[in-house]
Amino acid sequence: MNISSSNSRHAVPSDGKEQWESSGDVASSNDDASATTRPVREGPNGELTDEELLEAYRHGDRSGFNQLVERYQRELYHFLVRFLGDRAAAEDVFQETFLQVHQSADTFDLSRRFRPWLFTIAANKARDLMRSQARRPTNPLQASISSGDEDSGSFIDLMQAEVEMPGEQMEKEELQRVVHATVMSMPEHLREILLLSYFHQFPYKQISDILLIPLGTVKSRLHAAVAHFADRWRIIQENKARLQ
Amino acid sequence: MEMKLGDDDRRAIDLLLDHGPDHFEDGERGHVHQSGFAAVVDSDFDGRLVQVESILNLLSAMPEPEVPSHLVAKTLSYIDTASPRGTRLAPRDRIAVDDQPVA
Repeated sequence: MNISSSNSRHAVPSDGKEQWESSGDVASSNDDASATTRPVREGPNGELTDEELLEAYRHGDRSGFNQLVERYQRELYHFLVRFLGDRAAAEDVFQETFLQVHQSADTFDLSRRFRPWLFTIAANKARDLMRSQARRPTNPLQASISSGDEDSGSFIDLMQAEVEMPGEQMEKEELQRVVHATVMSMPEHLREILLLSYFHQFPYKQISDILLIPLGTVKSRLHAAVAHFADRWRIIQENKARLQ
Repeated sequence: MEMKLGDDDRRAIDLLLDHGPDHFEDGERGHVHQSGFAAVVDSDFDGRLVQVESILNLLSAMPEPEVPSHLVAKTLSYIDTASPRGTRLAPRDRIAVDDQPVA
């Protein structure tokens, strides 16, 4: 189904990819949204886009909201479980996130993209929960590794870091356990940005918007996250080899 | 002691992870796509890129948690209870929503 309408200002490509983020001359107010020209974003299979579903919901179509929850249940739940390290907490935050979407649906600027907004809400609520419950796992190495927001520190060369890759002898379950433990040992802000970038493939610019941090901080924080992960992996492998 | 990466490592990470404005962003991934940067790297840089990619791809071993079968129904029910229809913020009552990103 081609959703492109006569007032659309960009052609919807056959692969369904977005052609532009937003337009400065699109009215930011939603009060007169029907009178403005706004992007039409078609999903990869011709289904309604997130923004169209939200708009339908604003006009009373409950199924639009239900579809959004269904569409994002897997991706958002995965993000929250990996970020929080707790399935029950992830479920709670998932619900709170969509409650916020429901409550703020009429305030959402439909010229923007829904997905980064959803992750902004979810990340904020997850962080709030971690802080309120002091869930952040303790990490004895945490203090020794750059947060990524400073401009100091000693260098690590990933080529020379002797980061040993898992051999065939490492069982899949063991590998999963070690990688999970390594990621969960990371400071919250490094884990968060690594998840958003690696698993959810947000561009740096969108991560900057989601986390409300400058683009330069996105880069330095992500670099620190990879350095941290590589260093932790190396230490775990060294300890394992010592025990064998 | 704090750690920082050298320029080449940073560049490799950015090439692998900054997907740019037109990348495909729907859904998750289990490994780094290679097609986007293959044409822009030189041979000297190749080894480092492969090494950084290998490190990043360790992440794909992170377990995928199974989504609870009741998650959608429970969420919709929760919203109905906590904030029944008709209690959404109306446009005229709009307040600043700090959570909305600018892009």
